[in-house]
Amino acid sequence: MKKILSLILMIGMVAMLFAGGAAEKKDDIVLTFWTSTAEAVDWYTNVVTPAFKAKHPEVKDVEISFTSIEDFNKKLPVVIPAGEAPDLMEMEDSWATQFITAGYISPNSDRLNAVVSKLKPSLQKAIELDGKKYGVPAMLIHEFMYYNKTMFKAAGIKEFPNTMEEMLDVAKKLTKRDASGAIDVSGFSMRLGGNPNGTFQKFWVLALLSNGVEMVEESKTTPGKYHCAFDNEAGYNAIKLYIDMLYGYKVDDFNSMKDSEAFAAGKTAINMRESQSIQTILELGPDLDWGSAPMPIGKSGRRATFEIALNLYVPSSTKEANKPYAESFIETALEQKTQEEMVRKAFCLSPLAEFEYSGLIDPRAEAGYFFPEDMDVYSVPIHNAYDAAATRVGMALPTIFADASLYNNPAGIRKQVSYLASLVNEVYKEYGEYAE
Amino acid sequence: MLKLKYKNQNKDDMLFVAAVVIPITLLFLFIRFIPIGRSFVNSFYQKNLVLRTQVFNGLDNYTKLLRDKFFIRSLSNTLFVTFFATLLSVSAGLLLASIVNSKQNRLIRFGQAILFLPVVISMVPATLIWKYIFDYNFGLLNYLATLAGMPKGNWLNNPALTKWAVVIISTWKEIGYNMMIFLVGLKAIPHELYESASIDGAGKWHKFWAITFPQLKPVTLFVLVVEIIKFIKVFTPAVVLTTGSQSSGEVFYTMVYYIYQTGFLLRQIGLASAASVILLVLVMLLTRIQMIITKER
Repeated sequence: MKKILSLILMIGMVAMLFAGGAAEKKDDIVLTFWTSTAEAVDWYTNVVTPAFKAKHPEVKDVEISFTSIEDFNKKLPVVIPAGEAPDLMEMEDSWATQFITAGYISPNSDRLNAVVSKLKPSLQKAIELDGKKYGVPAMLIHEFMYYNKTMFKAAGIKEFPNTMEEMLDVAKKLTKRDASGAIDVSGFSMRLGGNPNGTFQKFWVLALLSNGVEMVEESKTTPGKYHCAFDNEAGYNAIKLYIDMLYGYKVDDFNSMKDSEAFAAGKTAINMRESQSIQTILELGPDLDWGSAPMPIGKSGRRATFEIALNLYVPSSTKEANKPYAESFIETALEQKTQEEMVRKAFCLSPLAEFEYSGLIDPRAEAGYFFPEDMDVYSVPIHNAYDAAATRVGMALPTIFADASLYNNPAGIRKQVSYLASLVNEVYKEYGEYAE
Repeated sequence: MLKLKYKNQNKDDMLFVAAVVIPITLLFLFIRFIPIGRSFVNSFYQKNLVLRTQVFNGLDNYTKLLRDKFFIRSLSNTLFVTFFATLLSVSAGLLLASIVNSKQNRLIRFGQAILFLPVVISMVPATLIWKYIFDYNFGLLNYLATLAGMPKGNWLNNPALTKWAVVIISTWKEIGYNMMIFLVGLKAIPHELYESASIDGAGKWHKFWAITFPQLKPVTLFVLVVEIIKFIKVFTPAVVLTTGSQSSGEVFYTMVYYIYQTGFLLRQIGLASAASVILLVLVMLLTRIQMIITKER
């Protein structure tokens, strides 16, 4: 009898385990939203959500969940195909391509396309795949230079250099070492590792684009197919730039403090970063005297940066009842007033075609924040293979950067360029998007 | 093979046993064997996690892995950590268990508790603490090195040092566990054996090799197998130490980290499955070698 009772008890416990917690009331509307943009969480939570809830008092809550970029990119391929996607999610445009191809993200509804029609024409094109539009850009990120004015003044440098070569001379001059010869203050904070996508992104803008070359280019013989674009002199110059900075100019090394944290702490003279890092500088270095500048002109004679859209998507798996609310949330995020707060709080560019920035941007950031007339602005192509190829290159770059024997070694650099090109081409072949 | 004798048991007992064993067996089958089998099948396909494309490519994934610099580096890093962390944690565990077993006072008991503490600390916060200790600019280790007039080491970004940092953390985490297992083994050795040996004039060292070591053989085998399986799956210290906003240089790739990156970041689930199969075979092979060596002795 005791055993029968224990059995019943055990079955009951297992049933409770699977039953989960108390269910929400059936008519409660809760919108789930995922983002990986730390700097925008405050905006989504304290600006967009209240404005959205004011329109829809029947919505009980908007659950905003933040995951760091690196983990977000790994979480999505698991949860979206499993049907566990949120009602609404924010993603970089290049990440979304595979989900669109696989049908996890449907083409925009007429309602969302009406929002898209108010955006910059270049963006309307960038979210188009096979004639259909997917997602709505909520903010734009781009890269520029931040510099420490105190250090510049102390060295007698009046303004930020115009070309890459001049910038490296300045960075060399501003690099400070301790008694042991180790770098105490780097002249230019280099991205030498970490999240592979980030490592590639910095290499892309600083070395590839400034040398006038993209990661891939369209095949001349087979339109719609691509191959690596940097297996040439421009790619050689790109790798050489990093190697020269590390072992020739010696403006940075693998031991120094890095990125915005280093800049805010006065441990680097120049830092290249997206506009959102203004937030980190203001928080960690409130007394820092700093300025900004656009990307310098590279060896190709061009000034280049990227503009990456952070798009809002309503996944196909979103419940029909929640779809209108998710779309309303997007509409709210793209309203003029909400966008003004986005610029103030997240420091990104607005995707709206007509937008007035005056008084919204810290004057110290203006020179870098706005594009000069001679700036070439690149966006990420919509290929299934692009993100995986960029990641693969980002994984390989740190080992190449760490190889001091590549300094003054053209043959060695060319070998590495070919290796990187083979990684890109291999990924494009796997995705069936490759042609000579 | 274990044979259950139901002869004298009543129906209730059998029903109870079946009700307890069958669900667990099914659950184990579902969460262990089916995924392992699925991974084995996937390893022969070029398969994308998101696009759900699937093309049979035979042994291509395996040959590709052997040509992949990242995989070779991951394999070599994993074997390095497994070898040294097992060696250090097992020998230190045995040594400490012998000390604890030979004397019992408050200090020893306190030391025993302190040594066991890392076992119950979660690996992520533990590694984060170590990350501060290993930091090039602000770390305790480099501070002490500077005081001693030694050069600073870049434990987090120099692959030659990072592998040792991972060994140190992995060893530190496991010493307490091994000590406790060995302690149980030591306490189970009949005291009479030592008394007889003492009568025969055996010294401490001789007693250890003639009595303690052979008597501990099953325990040693258990500890070795468990530790090899644990260390070959090394992941958290590698990720936490070498990624993040201040990371520079190479990420310390281990096999599990490679599988994780390949499967989820690069979305090449076929290639990641092939790497998983290699890891499984490696674990089985190393375990078998351990068993053979221990049996021979």
